[in-house]
Amino acid sequence: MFSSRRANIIYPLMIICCYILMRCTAFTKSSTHRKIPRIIREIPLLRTLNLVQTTFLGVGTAIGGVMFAIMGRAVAEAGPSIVVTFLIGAFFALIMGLSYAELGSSVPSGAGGAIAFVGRAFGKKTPTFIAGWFSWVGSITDCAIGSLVFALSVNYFLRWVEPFTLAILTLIVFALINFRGTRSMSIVQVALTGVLIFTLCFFIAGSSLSFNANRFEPFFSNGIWPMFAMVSFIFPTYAGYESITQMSEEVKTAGKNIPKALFLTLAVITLLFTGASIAMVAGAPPEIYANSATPLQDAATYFVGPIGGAIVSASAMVATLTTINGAMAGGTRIAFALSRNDFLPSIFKKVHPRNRTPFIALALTVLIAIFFVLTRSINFIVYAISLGYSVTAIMVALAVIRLRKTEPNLYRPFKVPLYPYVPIIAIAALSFMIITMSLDALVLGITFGGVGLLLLFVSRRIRKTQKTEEPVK
Amino acid sequence: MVRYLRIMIVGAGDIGLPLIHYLSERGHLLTVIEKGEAACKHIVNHADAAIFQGSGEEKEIWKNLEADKMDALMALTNNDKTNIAVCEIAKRDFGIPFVIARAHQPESIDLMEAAGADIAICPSIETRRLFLNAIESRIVETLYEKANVGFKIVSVIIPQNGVAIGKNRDRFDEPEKLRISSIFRNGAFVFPSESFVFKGGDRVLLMGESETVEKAAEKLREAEIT
Repeated sequence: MFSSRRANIIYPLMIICCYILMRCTAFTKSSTHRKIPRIIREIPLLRTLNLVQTTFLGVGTAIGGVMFAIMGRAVAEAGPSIVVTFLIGAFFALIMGLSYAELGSSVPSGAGGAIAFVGRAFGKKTPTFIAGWFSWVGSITDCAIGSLVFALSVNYFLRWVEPFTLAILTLIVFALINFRGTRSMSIVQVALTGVLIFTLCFFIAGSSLSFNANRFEPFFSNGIWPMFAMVSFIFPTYAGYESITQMSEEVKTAGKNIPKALFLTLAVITLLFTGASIAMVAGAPPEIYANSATPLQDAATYFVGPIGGAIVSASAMVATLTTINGAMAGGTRIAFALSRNDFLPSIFKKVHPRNRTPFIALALTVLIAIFFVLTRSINFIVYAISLGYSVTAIMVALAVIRLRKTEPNLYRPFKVPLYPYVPIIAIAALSFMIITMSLDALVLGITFGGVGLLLLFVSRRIRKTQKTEEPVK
Repeated sequence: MVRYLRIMIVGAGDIGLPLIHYLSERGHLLTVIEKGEAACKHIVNHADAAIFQGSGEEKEIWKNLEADKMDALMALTNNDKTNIAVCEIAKRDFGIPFVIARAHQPESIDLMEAAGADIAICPSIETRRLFLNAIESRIVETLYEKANVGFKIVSVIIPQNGVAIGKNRDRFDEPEKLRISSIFRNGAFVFPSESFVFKGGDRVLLMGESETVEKAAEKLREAEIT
C-alpha cells in the first residue's frame, strides 16, 4: 500500500520545487534590505505556560504511538532486562537533556529550541540551518505519522472512516486549536495528557491482577548484550521531551521553569515506561505480546479482559493526539526561528496580534504535514528523522561548549554539571547511536540532510541574484 | 493595542528589580546587566529577562546584547559613576534612542545629561518633594522642581484669614526671580492684572528661583494672628 520507490524520487523533487517557487515570489522581500522603522514593532510571543502546563506538554509530545508499537519486540529481544534498558535510555536522555536545560534557561529569544541555541552559538550559518531543518521536518513528521496512526486506529474500529481523510481533518483541527493561541493548545494538551497518564497508570495497575514475579526469571533471557543493544531501539520513546525548549519564549519564568519541566517530564515518562515494561514482563507471558503489533493492548486484555484492550487502544489514540498537538506547536516555532535566522522568508516571523501565535509559520508547517500524509510514503521519512534527531542533539551539546567560551557573561540559571565532561559524553553517546543505526536509516538520513543543504544553496543563490538585480531596479 | 518595548536595564537593585518585575509582567522584552548573583537569581525566579552578569561599565559585556536594537535603556545602579559611563556607552556606541539614568547625588544629574541621558532622575529629590507636600498638607505644594537649575513651580492656598488678603501682586513678584503666573479662584483661572488683589481661598501658582519661591510661598500662606 505504501509504494515508496516512486515517491522517494518524486516528493523530494516536489519539496524543492515548492521551496524555489516560494523564494521567487513576492513574499521573499527580505527585511534586510528595508529598514523597518522602530514604530512598527514585532509582536512578541506571549508567556502563558506555567510549570505544570509545560511538563504536560513535554510528556504528551514525548509519549506517542512509538511506545505502544515497539514494546512487544523490545521485551521479546531483551526479556525482563528491558526494564534496565529503559533506565539506561533514561540516563542517556538525561545526559542529552542537560545541555537543553542549560541553553533553554539562558539563551534569549529561544523559540524553536535547538535551532535558536545553535543559531546563538554559531550564527546564521549552515549548522544552524541543519539543526532547524532536521528538527522542523522531525516535528512535521510527528504530526503526519501521528495523524495517520490515529486515523488508522479509528478506522480499525469504524471501518467506514476513510483514514487519509480523517488524518488530514485531524491535522486541520489541531491547526485551528494552535491558531487560537498557546493557551488553547495548552488546555487541550493538559486534558489529553491527563487522560494518557491515567490510562497508562491503569495499565500498570492492571498487571497486578496477573502479576507473577517468576516471570522475571531468567532476567537476561537472551543474554546480557540485548539489554544494551536495545537501548537505541527504545530511545525514540524518550525523544520529544526536549521539544519543550521549542516553546521557551512562551513559558513563564522560563529560566526557572524550563529546566524543572525538562527533568519532571523525563521523570514522569521514565516512570511510565519502566512501569509499563515491568507490567508487561510480570503481568503476562511473552507469547501474548512477543510478535504482536499491539503488544500493550494484548497484555491489557490478558490482565483484565477485553475492556483492558479497549482502554489501552484509546490510550494509544490519545497518545498520538498529544504528540500531534505538541509537535505542531513546536514545529511552528521552529519555522518561526528559521525565518528569524533568514532561512525562510520573513513573512513567517509574523505573529498574530490577538492570538499571539506565528500563524503563517503554523499554516506552512501544517500544509507540509498534510502533504506528507497525501504522498503516503511515511517510511522514508521515519528513517531519515532518527539521524536528524541525534545530529541536532550533538549540535546543541556543541553549542553549550561554544557559548561557554563566547558568552561567559550570559547568566545561566541552570548549568550543565561536570562541564565539560557531560556535553562530551553526550556527543559520544549520540555519535554511538548514529554509528549503530541501520544502514537504511543512515543513508536516508544523509540524503535528507543533503536535500536540505541543496535547498539552502539554491535559496542563497536566488538571494544573491536578487541582490545584484536590485540596483538596476 | 499595547506597544511592547525592548528595554535594557543596568543594575537590578532597589529601583531596578521592582521595575524589572513590573515591565516583565506587562510583556516587555527586557535585557538586564547585573553584577550580583542573588539579584540575577531573583529575576530568574520571578520574571523573564535576558540576563548578563557583570558590570555595565565593561565594554565586553555589551558585545552580544544587540544593544542597537533597544528602544530604551535605564541606568539604575547605585553608583553614579557607573550610570554615567553606561549612558555614554548607550548613546555614543549604540545610539539607543531613549536613555534614562538614576542619580544618587543631585549633582550627578548634570553629568548624566552631559553623558547622554535624556532624563536623569534623582529619587531622593523626588521623594523629598512628595514628603514635603505631605507635611504641608497641600497648602503649599511643589508641582515641579528642577533641582540642578534651582527652579520650582509651587501652588499656595491663601487661608481665609490670610495676611496676603487685599494685597497687590506686586508685593510678591520679583523680576528675574519670581513670577506669580496665575491664580485659581472659584473654579476659574485668572491672570493677574495691575489692579489684582488676593482673596481668601485663592490658589496661587508661583514659579521661579527655588529659594525666592519658597520665601514667597511662606508669606502667602501666613494667617493673621488673632
